[in-house]
Amino acid sequence: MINIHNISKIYGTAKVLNIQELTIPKGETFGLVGNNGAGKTTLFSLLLDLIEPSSGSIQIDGIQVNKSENWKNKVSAFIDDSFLIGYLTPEEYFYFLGELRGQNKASVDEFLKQFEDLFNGEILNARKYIRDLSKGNQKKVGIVGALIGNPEIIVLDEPFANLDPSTQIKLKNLIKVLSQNAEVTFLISSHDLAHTTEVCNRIVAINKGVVVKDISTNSETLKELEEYFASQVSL
Amino acid sequence: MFLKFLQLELKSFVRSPQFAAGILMKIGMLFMYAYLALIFVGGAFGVYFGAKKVGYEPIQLFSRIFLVYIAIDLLLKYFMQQLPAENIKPFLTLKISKNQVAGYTLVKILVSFFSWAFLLFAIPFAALLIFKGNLNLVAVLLYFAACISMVFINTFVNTIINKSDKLMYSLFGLMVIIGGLHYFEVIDVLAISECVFYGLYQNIGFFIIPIVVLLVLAIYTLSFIKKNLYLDRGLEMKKAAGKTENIAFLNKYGTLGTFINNDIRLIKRSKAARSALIGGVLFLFYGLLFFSKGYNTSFMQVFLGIFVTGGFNFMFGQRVPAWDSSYYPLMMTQNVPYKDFLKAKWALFVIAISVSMILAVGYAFISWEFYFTIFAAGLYNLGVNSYLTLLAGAYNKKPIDLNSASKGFTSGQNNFNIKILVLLLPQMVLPMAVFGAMKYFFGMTPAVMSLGILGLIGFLLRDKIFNLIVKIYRTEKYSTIAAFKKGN
Repeated sequence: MINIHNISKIYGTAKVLNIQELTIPKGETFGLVGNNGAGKTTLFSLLLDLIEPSSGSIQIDGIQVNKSENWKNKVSAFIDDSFLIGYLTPEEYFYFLGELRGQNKASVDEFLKQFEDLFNGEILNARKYIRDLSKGNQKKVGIVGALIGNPEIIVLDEPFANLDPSTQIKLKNLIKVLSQNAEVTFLISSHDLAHTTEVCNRIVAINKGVVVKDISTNSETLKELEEYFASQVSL
Repeated sequence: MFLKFLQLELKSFVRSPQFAAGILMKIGMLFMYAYLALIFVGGAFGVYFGAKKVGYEPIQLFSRIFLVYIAIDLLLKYFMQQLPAENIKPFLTLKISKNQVAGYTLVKILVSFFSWAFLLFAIPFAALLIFKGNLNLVAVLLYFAACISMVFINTFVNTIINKSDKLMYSLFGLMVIIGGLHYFEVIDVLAISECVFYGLYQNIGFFIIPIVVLLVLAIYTLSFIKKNLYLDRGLEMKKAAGKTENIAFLNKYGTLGTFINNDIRLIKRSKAARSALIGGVLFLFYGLLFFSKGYNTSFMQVFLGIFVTGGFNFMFGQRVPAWDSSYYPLMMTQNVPYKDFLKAKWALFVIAISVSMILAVGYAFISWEFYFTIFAAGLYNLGVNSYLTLLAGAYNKKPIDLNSASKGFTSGQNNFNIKILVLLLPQMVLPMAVFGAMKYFFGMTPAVMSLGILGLIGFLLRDKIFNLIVKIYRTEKYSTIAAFKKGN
């Protein structure tokens, strides 16, 4: 369970994030939507203790993220390409992450078999370093890397961005399947309202750092979100 | 159009991270450039006035060493001078002709420090020759025009063959063979150099040859750059085939082994890290300064010893978290306690220092005492300096672009941080003082032992020291992450 309590982040005079209370229970597939600069990446960075909160705290299963490191064995994330090690081959990267999460080479190999379709033959045994892969393939490596080791909480920042149409659909289906596991909590931020609505069972929309919608996904959610963002345009 | 390019260059310079740095760092950098400039200017005076002492005319002496200078110049340019590809790409689709872009690139390369550093030597030297030596003004000027042409020819040659590994290695192979022949006194490179260049001076009409070669090369280089203004030719980094590698026996050591495996791959596959490694290896030869005046006290010999065994630390270790700057957030969110992460880095230092200590046994051929001094310095490096280097790394917030070679060599110098300077005191001055005092009062063996004991104490206290280091890293963590983000 993730508890976000009185979190705010201030840069200079701008308050880029201000969330009083937000709780994400175990097993939820949580979607975060918002325009650029709304605060999505800021929230994830605070969650992963990559930046310091100006106030408040985030707790994962009772562990405060900026006070202890014990939450790290529950969480796995892929935010941007600073989560990739460019000079490694995808295999080395996967084994590296596996080693850190107690998975030996054989179990990682076994785990990777399910992504053969997603990888399209361009990633494993491709004899390329991650830095020489296309942006879309780099993304695939990052996302799959985040799934290694059966983490309890998986954080993905805009996973659908930069992926080709087929891959987007494959990823969507993948997340749907994985999120059926009640032990696994997904946190996904996205610009793509359609994908998010399909995949997540709860969607929070933030605008200028503040929560403006908190919806349990239903058949009307996509329309609701589209209307909201359209209304932002005429302002 | 050229004016517009110039304006862009100016903006780039003024907004570069080095320029925008704190005043201390700017002063430090100014000092560094001034120091380098002084070496060249001082060299001019040194060669002029020292020539008579070794029995040559100044211009003769210069001619003897010029060939070697050209060779070293080409070598340095190979490592540090690259086509400014990133700056060119934005211009390709704009309304700027390829000729203009190629011309701009060429000028950019020519204006770099490597090109005009030679002038800092040539101008005072020429002035001395003309005004003090009373040599023919025209002859001297034409002579140096020819020499300067040679330097620029190097620049062009490097631009053309920099990407072609085969050509480069054959060239260097040639240099090594010639060097070997010289060493074994089969040929005398200096005499050849003198023959060519002094001969040029004496038959000044020949000055036209290098200048003509230069012009021809300039035109060729321009068309070469133009031909390579494509994303799949000159403007993209060579993409080496990726090999999945693993040093199996390291896997026995758990997290430590995993990180060391990674760091080895880092050094093997990143230009910047490789330059630092080569620099570290070169430090092994620093001990040869033993032969120069000023290093014959045991006090100064400890200084040499620390660098000989700690060269890798200096080049690589000082920037330890920064090597991981492009994926620091990944490291920070993995299930690895900070302590283990740092211990793995520390293990690398220990390995490097130990290897240096073993390789330095070559110095025993000079003097056993000298080797023991180096060995003692090595022990101190192992037990004390390894931690201090790690500690200094906590304050190093400059990100490193792993794919850029020159940044690997020079960016270390751009880190004049007061905390790092302060940490230099226990790293260098303290062991020098302790060793010097012990040797003076008690002799060699107690002196070596004293440094060894200090090292041992450091080693035994390592757990406590690590806790301290981790605390400091934690405090600096957020600013480090933010700073590393900027660089990428």
